[in-house]
Amino acid sequence: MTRKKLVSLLLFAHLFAIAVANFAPMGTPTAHRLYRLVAPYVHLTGQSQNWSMYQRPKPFDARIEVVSVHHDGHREHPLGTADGMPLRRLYFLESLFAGRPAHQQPVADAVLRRVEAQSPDGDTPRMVQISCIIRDTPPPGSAASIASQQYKPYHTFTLRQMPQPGDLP
Amino acid sequence: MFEPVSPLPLVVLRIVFGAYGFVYFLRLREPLTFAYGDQGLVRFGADLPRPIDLQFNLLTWLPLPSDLAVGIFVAAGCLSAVLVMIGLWVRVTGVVLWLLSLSAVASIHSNSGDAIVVVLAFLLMLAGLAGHSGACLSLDARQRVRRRGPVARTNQIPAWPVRLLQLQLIAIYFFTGVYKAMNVVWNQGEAMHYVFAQSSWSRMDLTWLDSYPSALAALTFGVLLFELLVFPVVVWFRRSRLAVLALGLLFHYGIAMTMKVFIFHEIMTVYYICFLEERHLRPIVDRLIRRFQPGARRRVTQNAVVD
Repeated sequence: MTRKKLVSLLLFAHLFAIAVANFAPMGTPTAHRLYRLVAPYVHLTGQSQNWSMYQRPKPFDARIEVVSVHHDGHREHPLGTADGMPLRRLYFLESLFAGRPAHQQPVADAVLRRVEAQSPDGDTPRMVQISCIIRDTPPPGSAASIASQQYKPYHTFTLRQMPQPGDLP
Repeated sequence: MFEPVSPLPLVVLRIVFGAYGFVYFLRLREPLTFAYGDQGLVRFGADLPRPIDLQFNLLTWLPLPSDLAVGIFVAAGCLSAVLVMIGLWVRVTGVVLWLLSLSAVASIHSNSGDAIVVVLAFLLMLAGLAGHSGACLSLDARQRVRRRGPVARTNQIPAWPVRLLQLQLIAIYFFTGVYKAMNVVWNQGEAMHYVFAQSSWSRMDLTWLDSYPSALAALTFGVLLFELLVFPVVVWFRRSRLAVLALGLLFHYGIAMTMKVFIFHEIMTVYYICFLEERHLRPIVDRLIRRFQPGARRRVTQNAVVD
């Protein structure tokens, strides 16, 4: 086999795998069967084709907050506020609330313990929380505006210390 | 796929992607340290990185948590990117850069922009293994010239590495558009209403556009038109190519100015180089070489490959 034929064959195989991987999310039985054939290649090479950017914009606005509450009652945002923290960190924290939050509990616990451990010596927070509040986005054209909607709690991961004498509520 | 083409677009893409890879790995230090450093999430019980079937991940082999291991990983990524950029041992460094990008992207909570970094690293690695991405403007090419003389090589490469890159970019736009169009909020022209309501990911408040539903519908359908038709079809026509690429930049930087995207606009800008041609790049490359290597003018114009 000449080098050109070999390269042609490899290119065809690659393009076939890419095409199948792109059609796979459509969920048709044929696409699914073919995807099983090419999955090892696309996973091994990192060529998974998941181009779903803004495919389903959320019908609500979510805001993430990481708060540590100290024994004297003062509150801090040890990882920064949602508007100021590094974007990758915000994206990661938001992922803790994607799907069923219970599945993310171990990672959320690790974030909480990390925040607690990084507090200055002798000032271990009484409570650390990662919370997500959401505000429904009314459909376009409805009488209610976005601004008129209230944020409501969606889910909170909490790490508490034993109460100490003199703790403020 | 095998017609001879100028190596310049592929070579310039290799150089720019190498430079971008250096910055990319430097910026990954923060999220990697957050998860895998001495005080990272792994130390506090997080089961990271989560294994992906069959996928290589160097971080699963490193002793974690460790700032040193993260530092070495980031330094290796930066170094391999620089070596790809200057074109030294491109066959090996291309593979290393791909493996490190694959590992990094599998170890952080990554998005589509990161996936494109891995796709580009893989396709450029293939081109490098075939000896095409280092065909000129590389230390490998310089060493070849020293060994064999400047007439030893032809100054063209087969088209397949560039075509592969171009087809992949088309697939990214087209399937993004297809999956959007299958969603009711996109095909009813309402998607941008919901996008602008994401306050944490907005750089400015654009919810006032709700008072102009036709403007929101125009933006929504404009995105679909660009992704499904304008880029995938019109970019192939040489006369309109630059206009489509300019429109693409406007599209991505428009999003980056209004929404908090982290790297998507950057990596797409890099990726667009694969659609440029010798006639677009040659004046820029010649000018840069003349500026940094004044004696090289004659050699550059006489033999595009060896220099």
